[in-house]
Amino acid sequence: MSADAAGTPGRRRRPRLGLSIKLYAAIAGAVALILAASLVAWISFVELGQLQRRITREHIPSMTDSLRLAHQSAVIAATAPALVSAPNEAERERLMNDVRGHQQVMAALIDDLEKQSAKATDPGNPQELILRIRQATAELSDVLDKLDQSVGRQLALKIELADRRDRAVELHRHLIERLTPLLDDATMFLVTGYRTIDDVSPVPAELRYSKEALLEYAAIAQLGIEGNLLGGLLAEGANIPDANLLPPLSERFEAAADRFRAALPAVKGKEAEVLRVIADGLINLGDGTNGIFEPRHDLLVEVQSAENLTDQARTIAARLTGDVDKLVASVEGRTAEAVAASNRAIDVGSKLLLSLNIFSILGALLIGWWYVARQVTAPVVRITNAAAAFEEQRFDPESLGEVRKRTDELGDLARTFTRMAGEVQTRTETLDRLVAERTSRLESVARRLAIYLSPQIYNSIFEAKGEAQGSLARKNLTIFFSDIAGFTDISDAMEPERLAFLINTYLSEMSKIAIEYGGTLDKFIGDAMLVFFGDPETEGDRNDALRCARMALRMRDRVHELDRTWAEHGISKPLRVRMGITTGYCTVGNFGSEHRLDYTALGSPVNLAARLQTSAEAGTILIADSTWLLIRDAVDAAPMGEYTLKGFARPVGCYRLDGLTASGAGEAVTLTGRHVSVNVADRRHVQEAIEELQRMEKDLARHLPRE
Amino acid sequence: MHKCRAGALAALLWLAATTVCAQEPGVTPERILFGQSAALGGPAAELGTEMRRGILAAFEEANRAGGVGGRRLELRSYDDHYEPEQAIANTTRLIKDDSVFALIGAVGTSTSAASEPIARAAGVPFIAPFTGAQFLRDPALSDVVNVRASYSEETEAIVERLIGDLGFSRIAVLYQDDSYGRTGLAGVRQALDRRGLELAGTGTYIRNTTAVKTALLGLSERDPQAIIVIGAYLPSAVFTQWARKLGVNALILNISFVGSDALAKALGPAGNGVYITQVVPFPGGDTLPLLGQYRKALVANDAAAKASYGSLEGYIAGRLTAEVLARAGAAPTRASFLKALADAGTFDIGGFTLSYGPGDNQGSDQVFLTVIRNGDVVPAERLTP
Repeated sequence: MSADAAGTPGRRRRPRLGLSIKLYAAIAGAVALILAASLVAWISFVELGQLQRRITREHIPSMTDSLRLAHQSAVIAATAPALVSAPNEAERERLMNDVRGHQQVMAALIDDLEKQSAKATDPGNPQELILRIRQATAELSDVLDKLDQSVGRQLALKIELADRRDRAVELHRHLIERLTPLLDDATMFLVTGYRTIDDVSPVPAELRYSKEALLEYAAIAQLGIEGNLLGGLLAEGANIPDANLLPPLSERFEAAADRFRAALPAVKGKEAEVLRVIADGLINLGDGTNGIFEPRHDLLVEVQSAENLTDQARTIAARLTGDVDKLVASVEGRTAEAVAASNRAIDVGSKLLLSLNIFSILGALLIGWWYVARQVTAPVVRITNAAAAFEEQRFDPESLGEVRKRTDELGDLARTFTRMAGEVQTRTETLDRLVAERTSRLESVARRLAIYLSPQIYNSIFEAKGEAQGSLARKNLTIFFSDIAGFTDISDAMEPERLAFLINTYLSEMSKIAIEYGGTLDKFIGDAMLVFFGDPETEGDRNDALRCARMALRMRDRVHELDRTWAEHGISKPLRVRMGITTGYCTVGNFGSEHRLDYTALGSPVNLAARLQTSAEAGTILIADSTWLLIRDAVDAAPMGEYTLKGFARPVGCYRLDGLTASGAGEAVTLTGRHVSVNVADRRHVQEAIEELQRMEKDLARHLPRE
Repeated sequence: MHKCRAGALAALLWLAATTVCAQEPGVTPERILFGQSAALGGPAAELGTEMRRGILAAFEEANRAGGVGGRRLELRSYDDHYEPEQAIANTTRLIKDDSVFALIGAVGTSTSAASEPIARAAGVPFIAPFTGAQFLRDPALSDVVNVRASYSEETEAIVERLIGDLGFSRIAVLYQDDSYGRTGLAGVRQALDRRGLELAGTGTYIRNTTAVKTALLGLSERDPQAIIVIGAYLPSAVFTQWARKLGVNALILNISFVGSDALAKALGPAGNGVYITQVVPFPGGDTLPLLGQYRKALVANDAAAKASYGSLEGYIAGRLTAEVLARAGAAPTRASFLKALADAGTFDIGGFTLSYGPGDNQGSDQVFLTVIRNGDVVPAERLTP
């Protein structure tokens, strides 16, 4: 660092704040905001977690325990009536076992609840309530134990009582079954005087209606009455619902027993003994602890005490249930409070988190806009714009003025860019000037060159069509050669100015015609000219030849027309031009030395055309059979026989070209795009042509699509 | 492999068989157990004993023929001394402890009235109770299978005869003071009502006693032409003897429950001219193939046994039971037993026809008149003074 600083002394006055440091700072700012939000979220979660733990660790177990406690206490409270109505020992034992089981569960639950309430951290702790529940449970247990003992005694008494009642019923029945026949027999005796069926004669009436006999009969009848009374009183006593009614009942029983015993001596013999035994058994059942009345009394007392105990149990159970309900309510309240607190915490936390998130997003946006956009992105955009402007050559160094003042990498970049742009600008301007100069010079050269060159050649050179130099090509060409007949004579007889005018107009007009027909003007040799068709552009052998023929005919006619012009200029003698045409393969291309090249055609057809020209009569066109064969259907040509020409081993068939046949004059109407060109070979045909055009117009109108 | 499969199949079949058998109490592949609570001791002992003897004769006859569906018919009897309380205990014991298939041959009206509801609650068929009480003829009692004609049919026959044969109009009743006696009394009263007559008088006595003399004295005051006794044989005999001794010459008639042979024996010489209605034919006769079959079966089972009305009724009940069982399917159930009875409807037990149907759980409507002559009970065509 210090070495760096030492290495660049005085380069910066301000400490350098690099772009990366700025970006790091921006990111650090955003991260700090996020961290702040996370911190708040963490704190919220910790707070929530504590509340949640309180609910799950303290309140839910307490809730469960309280509810179970409520259930258990309800079950125990319901046991007392069930216990009282237990029909037997087994049921009593089962019920008490159940109760003890429930009591154990309750004790465990209360212990559990006490522990929880000792741990509890929130207000509204129900410790006192739990203590009361414990007390109530203990009391209830005590009462239930007493009740259980009472019910046990009741059951024993009931069994005893049922046993004795059965015995009483049995004895009573026996007594009646014995007494009824006695009374029956006594009645029979009293009425009839017979004691048994075997009595031969009845006892006389005066004997059987004695005072003693009647008293005896009444005593037997009374035995039946008292026996029934004894049995009835015992049955009543066994089922009497009120202990207070027992003493009078017992008294009546004793009275009946006394009367029974008093009447018993009326029965004589063995039967009396049987009756006494039965009656004693019956009477004993009304006496003391072995009887029916005392156990019934004990049972009623026991039932009363059990009822009192049941009432006590009910009261305690009601208290217990109330306390348990309160406990449940308190736990519910505490749980609800904790839940509410947790909801509040969630609410506050989520709002805080939301606002912090919004704040951190806004902060990040602010950092992005205020710091990154202004400090980093904007200069980069300016430099980019400057580069674009530079590309369009309208760069203004002032536009980077602000950026160049910066101390960071972007400042460096702006400074370097401005310097580079200046240098490039200077060089470009110099080069542009040089190019313009060279171009204008080249353009003037080209213009001058155009005069000396066939336009095709010119075009192919300057527009780079075809190969201007280099390769040679063999092509089938139609060659045209013309020469003015007797030009030497004409030139001799004429002053040079007129000759120049003559030759110039002649060549100029011919050149025009050659170009008009698409021929390649190869060269002028004095008054002679060489034109060929088929290179650089060809329309096919026949059309090339036909174009050439038309050109030649046009030249011939033009010369006639020019004759008048020349005559006006004092050139009296008309000009006669000889022309020769042939077709054949030639070599075309640039011929010459490395200093001077000429684009030309070489080959025997060229020589043949020159020879044909010399052989032609003045003012005529001689075409070789090679050309005639191509265009014979289109031209009017007279066969001239065979010519033996210098330089050619074999004679050449020749024809004089006189004109074009109708078909050779070309299509009467050629539809070319949006134009109609009319070719009228003769003035006489104008009217015909007009008629034809009218006919065609109708025809076309018929064929054209409707628009 | 095959052995294994066969073994498994056998085990499965065994399981299925035992399951089916276990489902229906009293039925095993070897036997079907019936239960009886009747008076085998006490004053009405002969009724129960004779009934049991007849049922056993029929059962053993069926067992000698290979049983019903390969199952032996067995009978377990308990003595109830003709007391309803004991009958209840016996019936409960037979159903709960002994798991009998059905109850058969209960003796007495009060005892049947006590035990039938227990059988009904347990879904146990209550076959051939030796009583003609009307309440057991209630069509709603689909578990009860009565064989004999009802008491009201017997009393109706008696009244019909008394008026038709003899033209009597003063008819009195001695009845046992319980549901049996009152059923008979009601039957007589209805029969007289239908003919526009009233009872000439009634007397009553306590069950299981012979204290009939006071009643006799009362009745003799009304000078009845005939006294219908709805009671047991011993009181009836005492009553008849004393009536004759006191010169009461009213015609004395008993209904079948009295126990004819016991009555004849107890009456001795006083029995002459005492009439008894029967619900089965004279057991010593030859009017039906049934009677020969019965006597043969009776002797086959117990060489010393003598033909009696009681055992004949028991025999018919046993025969009917075997017939119904044979139609109750391979694995008879209580339900299929009762269904087989209802489906078949009519049974011909050696010429004695029993027919059942909807609303009719009583097989026979026939009443036969018999009279005691010289200590023997013999058939009588009509009443004679």
